[in-house]
Amino acid sequence: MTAEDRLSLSQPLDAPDVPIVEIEARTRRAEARSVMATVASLRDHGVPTRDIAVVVRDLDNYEEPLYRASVHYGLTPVFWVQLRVTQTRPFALIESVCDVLASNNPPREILCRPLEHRWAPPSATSSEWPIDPKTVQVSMQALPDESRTLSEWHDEFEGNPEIDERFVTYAEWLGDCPEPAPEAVTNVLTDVVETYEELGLPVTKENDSPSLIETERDARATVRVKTLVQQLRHKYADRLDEGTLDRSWSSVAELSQLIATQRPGRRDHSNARAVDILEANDIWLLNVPYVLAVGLIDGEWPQQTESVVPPELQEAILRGDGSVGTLAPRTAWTTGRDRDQFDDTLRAAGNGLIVTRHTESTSGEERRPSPLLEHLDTDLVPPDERRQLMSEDRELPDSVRAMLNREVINSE
Amino acid sequence: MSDDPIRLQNAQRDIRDAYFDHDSGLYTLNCVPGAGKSEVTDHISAEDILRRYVAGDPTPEQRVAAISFNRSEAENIIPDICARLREIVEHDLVPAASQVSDSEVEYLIQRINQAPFVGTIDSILRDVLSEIASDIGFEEMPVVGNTARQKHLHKACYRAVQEDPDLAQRVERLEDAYPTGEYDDDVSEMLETAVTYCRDRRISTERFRSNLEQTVEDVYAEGRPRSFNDVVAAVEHCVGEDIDESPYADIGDDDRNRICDADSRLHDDWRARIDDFCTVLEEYRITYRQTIRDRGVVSHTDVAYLVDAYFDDRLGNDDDTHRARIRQRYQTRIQSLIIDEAQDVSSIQHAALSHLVTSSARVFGAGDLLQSVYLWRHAEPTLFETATDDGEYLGIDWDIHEHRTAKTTYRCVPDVASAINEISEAALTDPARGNLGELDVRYPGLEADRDSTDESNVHIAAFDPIASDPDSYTWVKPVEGRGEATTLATLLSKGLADGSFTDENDDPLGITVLFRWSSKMDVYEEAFEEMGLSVRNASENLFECSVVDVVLDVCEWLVAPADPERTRELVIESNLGLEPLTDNFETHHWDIDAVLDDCDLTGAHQHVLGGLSELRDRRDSFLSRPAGTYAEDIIETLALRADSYGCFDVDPAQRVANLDALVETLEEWEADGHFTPRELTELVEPFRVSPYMGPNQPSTADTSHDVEFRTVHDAKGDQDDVVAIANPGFDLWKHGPQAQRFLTQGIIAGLAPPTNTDTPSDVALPPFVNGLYDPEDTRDRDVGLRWATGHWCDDIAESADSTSLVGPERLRRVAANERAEAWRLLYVALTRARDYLVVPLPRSLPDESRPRDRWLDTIREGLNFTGSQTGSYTVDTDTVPFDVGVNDVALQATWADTATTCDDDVAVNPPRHTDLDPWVPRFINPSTMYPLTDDPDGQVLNHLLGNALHTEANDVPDDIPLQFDRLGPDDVGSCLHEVLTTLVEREVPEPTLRSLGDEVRRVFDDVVDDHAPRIDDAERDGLFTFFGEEVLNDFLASDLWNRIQRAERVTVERPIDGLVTVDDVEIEIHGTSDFVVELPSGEQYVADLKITLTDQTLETRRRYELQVTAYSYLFEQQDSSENPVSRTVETFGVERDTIESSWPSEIVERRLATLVRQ
Repeated sequence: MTAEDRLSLSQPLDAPDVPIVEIEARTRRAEARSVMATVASLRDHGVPTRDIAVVVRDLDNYEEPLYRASVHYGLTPVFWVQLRVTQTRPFALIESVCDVLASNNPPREILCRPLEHRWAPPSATSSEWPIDPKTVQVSMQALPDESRTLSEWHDEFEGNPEIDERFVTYAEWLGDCPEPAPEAVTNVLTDVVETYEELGLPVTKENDSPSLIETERDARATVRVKTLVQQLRHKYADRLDEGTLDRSWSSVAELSQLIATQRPGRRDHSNARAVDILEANDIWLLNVPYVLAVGLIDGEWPQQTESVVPPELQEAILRGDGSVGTLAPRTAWTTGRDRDQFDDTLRAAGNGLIVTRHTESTSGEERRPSPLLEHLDTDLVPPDERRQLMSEDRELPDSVRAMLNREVINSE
Repeated sequence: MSDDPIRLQNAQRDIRDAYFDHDSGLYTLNCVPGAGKSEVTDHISAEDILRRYVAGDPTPEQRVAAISFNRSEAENIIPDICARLREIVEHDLVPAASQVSDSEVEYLIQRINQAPFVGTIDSILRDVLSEIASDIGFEEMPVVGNTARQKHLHKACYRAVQEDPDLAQRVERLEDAYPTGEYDDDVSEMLETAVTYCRDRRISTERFRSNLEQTVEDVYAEGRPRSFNDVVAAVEHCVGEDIDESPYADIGDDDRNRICDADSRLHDDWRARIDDFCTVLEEYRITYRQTIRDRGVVSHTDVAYLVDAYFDDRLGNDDDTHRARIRQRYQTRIQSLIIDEAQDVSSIQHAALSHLVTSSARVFGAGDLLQSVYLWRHAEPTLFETATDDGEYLGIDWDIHEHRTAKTTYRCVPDVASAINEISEAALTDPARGNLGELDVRYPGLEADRDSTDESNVHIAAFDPIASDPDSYTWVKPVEGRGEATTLATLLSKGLADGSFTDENDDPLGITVLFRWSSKMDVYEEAFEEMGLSVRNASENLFECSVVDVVLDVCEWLVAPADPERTRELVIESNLGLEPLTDNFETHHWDIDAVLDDCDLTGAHQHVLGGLSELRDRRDSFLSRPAGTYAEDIIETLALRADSYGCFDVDPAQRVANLDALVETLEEWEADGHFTPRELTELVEPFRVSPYMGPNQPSTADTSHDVEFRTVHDAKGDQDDVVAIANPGFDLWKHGPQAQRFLTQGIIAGLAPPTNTDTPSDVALPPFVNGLYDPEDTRDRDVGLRWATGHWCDDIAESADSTSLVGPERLRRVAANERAEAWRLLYVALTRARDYLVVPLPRSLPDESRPRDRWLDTIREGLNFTGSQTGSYTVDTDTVPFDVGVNDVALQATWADTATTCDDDVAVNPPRHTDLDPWVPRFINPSTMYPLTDDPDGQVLNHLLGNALHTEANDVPDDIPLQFDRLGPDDVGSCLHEVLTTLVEREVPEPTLRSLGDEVRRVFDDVVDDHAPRIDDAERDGLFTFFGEEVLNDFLASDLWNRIQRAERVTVERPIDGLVTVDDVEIEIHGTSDFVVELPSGEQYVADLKITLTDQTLETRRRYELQVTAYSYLFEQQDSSENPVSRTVETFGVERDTIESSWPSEIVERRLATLVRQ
């Protein structure tokens, strides 16, 4: 890269040939609601779901607010990111089973957690299992708040008339669980998750809204946890061989956390009615009539990336100066990658682009607009129109409505 | 960009010139408010970077550190430097400007946006910590400045010392001596403060102990009292004069002995408690040192302390080379250090920073000692004072030192400047007021650069108060009549209406009302709203809001929802509005479901109980998800944002904003972890007990608000067109050191005497209304002889110094410094004004004027207000006279807020969970289209799980010669399917196939090994036999094989995709056709292969037919060629069949339409 090329990385982006509307909200959550209010209004105007895409640089901070905002407006969202499997019930279930088996004297909270996560014995039938949450909690309440061995708990379950009798089955199953050898671990956990698939997942579906948001998430998690348990067997065996882990159920729990937080897994989503919410690296080459680019905040898009290579050396490599000129630069060293992704977002919009941002942090500090917006000619939605968009009698801001008219004109 | 750039002038320009004339040195600028301190720091930073770039440094932003104490100001440094850089280049303001192109400016700006050393001092020190964290015992970079985590950590440390058997008795004694009180520090809080103080001052517990003991010795200067005369001597010592002893004449011998004995006991107990405290503290510090590492949680003070200690080699880490390398890295990088608000830097920050800079650097410090108002946050203004006076800073005695004072203010108009000078010069230079403390005060005086206006810029909202304390509600907003707040609101409101406070376009000016404390904001807000003014106020505590409380109450309940006690608490004590159901709950044993089922409930109660029951059923998900997420679940389930049943007396927009803020606060506190309801309850407990420690409620007024309420501290660094000083009548001694148990100010530390020593409360020791010591009574200026006071010496002995406070030396110094700071705070408040300064003042005072004790009287004096003036009057001064308007607004004018308000949808409607449209598959496969469209509800789970979707089929016949040990019927099907397609794909010749030659066996074994590596030989051989006899033979005899033989091209497993749109819903069909055979004639045959182990049923036949039809549909969509395409499903195995579809391809759309419209 020549010094001249290097300078070109900071040149303003070419303006897209579609109108750009800017919506400003006070906080991140308010911004998320303004995004979904806009999507809902576009839908009100007959724009098909697949003609809309919401794009965020990094969904970590936006997934939850956008999810809540979507549901508020009666829209099902779909986030094109890997599942956080550690925050799902199937994972919590296998982890809690390991925790109980790892403890010599589990307290009642730890002991009963698998039951809370809908544990059921491998041979169970759906009429009896899983135990409903209220029964589990009432039984838990009747147990002493102390730590005991599994066999003492077993006796307590048998002897205490206030405890649901299925607790005994559970205690027997725990008692029969083998020592944590790799194959045994896999067998136990596979049984647990397969039984969950059989009996636990239908409960999720039963409690879910017709859009099956929770069910889909739970099903994805079940598939992922099944794979994880298979991977666990090999990795656990490897670690035992290497001597980097000891043979225990707590090691199994620790290792499964480690594998699960790597967050691979299926990303395909199944609901044809769901609004697509993507990260900016997925928008490349897509063509969607209405794109909402969310979170155009300084420090978030573009986001500064950390590198162990000192900035002086990075810069020398980027410029191709001297002997370091032969080294390959990483795109993350400049904000070029974020800039390119924003450029892709601009190009993806077929009819119009709506950029949104918020102005205050949680503690009321100012959030400045992204420098990427500096050279773009955006049409800022005036406060009155924004209030109208957010009100019960929702209306699209004039400038967004003009995009719809533009579509009509273009198609004529 | 403006055509008229800011050009540095006078002292601004001088100091900039001096800075760039040298390559190193210390440059200090003392600035009056509005003198453009930030403009100078921005300019120097921008020009410095520019010059370095022009000189050939491609990463100049790495060399310049630009920092401020204040977080919100620090946030703006980068954009301000960028804006200044653009201005410098566009207007060619400095020589280097002409040497860069526009592209280079953009490049530089991109670099500045990533500058590592721009921000707060804390942020830079955090950067250093990230480099050394692992060297000093942290597993990874700790979480910094997370208040909740820190509280939690301190709680753990306190629990550790409580449970330490060697300390338990001492802790108990301390807890008895300093019991928890609403406004008093308890032992745990004092330990927390002590750790911070010791770290800030870099002192050992031993030195801290001697500091506390010195305070005791100072209080008992005459030693342990042996007689009542020693007590009297102590009083005289405190006053510094002989006192009139006649008031003591009435005290009889018994009482005198009683007092003397009590005082001796107090002395002994005090020393004993200090011993207890320091012994416990020593252990607490050890625990703290380890716990911050174990938990990875530190405070900002810890960061500075650790950085300083690391470079000073006080942490016992041995890697000198690494330390030297890190030090060198920073010292090489930071060639220029620019510090704004330098008077606010603390001692430990200064110490830490000094390791990062060498004498070859240039250091620029801008500040204003008169704006030093953060003593309570350990700011050390004397460091800046020494820098400006002696050229010593950051541990370096600078060879080159240049200092300037900028007196010109570009902020306020001349009349406002004159008024500020009149009030502040007298107040700040007075040895009884601003000059009472240790800081050497020189008042430079404001010289306004702006033009005068021909109207009054200083306004008094004059009122006739009801005789009462000027800090009372009766004074501020009495039930009847007009108090201070209403009068001020009236003046501002009518001033907006008659144009007094509008600009040349009649647009309202910005108005800020400043408060010393937030305690009177609520009544002020009420008064302002009554006058039609909309108020933005971000000073209320988030954890004091009823709807926020409810979320936390429910979290607490969810710790054990089956516990009747917890349910009782929720019903009776929470704001959920369930209290009227107490009897019902009592009858139904606190069982929510039973009450729901059996009782006659209102809609609101049904809604709340239904919500709670649902949350209880979902409790398990709260154990594995972040607290921010389940708090949101609670908010949604109970529809708290919409509050459809009007349970909360909170403004709708505020309700939404507060709930948002709660969720975000929890997310921030959690960082990457997650708290179960039990952990969360423990975490938030300190903030629920003391909401002022937690976050504020967010402001909800948008830009259309008329007035903003802020505390003076919060407004420091800002300005507004109109500034009003609210509630100026509070007593300065209120909340003074006499009311505090634990003092840590500068070099002085003091622990108050124990509160449980029995001292006579019935005998006063004039002037001490609380006798020896009565810490319960903090309403007066003293809590007794043996602690700090707010009395003036000359109030006790007329001849005494009128500028001296009563008390032993060390405590007097603490009180004096606090007082002096309070006057600097008034100066900060007044100097926020640009165009108008407004003050509410009484026409008459209920008592004599007390200018040294109240802002009110000082302002009154400064403005020469007698109470009798009306309209407007002129104050003559030594320099510029100024006009003051008294209630000089049009009385008939009425201000009405024109903004229309309508609540956001989220504040009105609950989340639309039930309105979500039913699920429709987005991706569908031709082979599973039949079962999925036939029974979507029954098949959806398998579809989502990626499992096979079964159709009703016959049982596998008993006589089938297969074992099904390792491979079940489904596996056999997919295995043999793969073998057959692989053989075709590899173009194995027919003779080899017919003879089941080696290649056939190899392919078969490979596929089987993939599916079932441990299959035994008998099962394997049986399967191979079945394949040869039942599958391959029929296959070779089929038309399909015949066509494959004749084909010009055969494609195996070809993907075929298409799209069906029904009512705007797009469904993608993704299929794979097993064989696509193209004959020389152009005909195409598409065939799908099924291995059957049973006879077909009607259902399976339909399934195959739909699959064939789906392929037809897809080919029709895809293929524009004229050539016909034939499609079949070919079954081999138990049943041999060729299925062709007679169904029209539209049936695909119809079936999907049914799915969409179900």
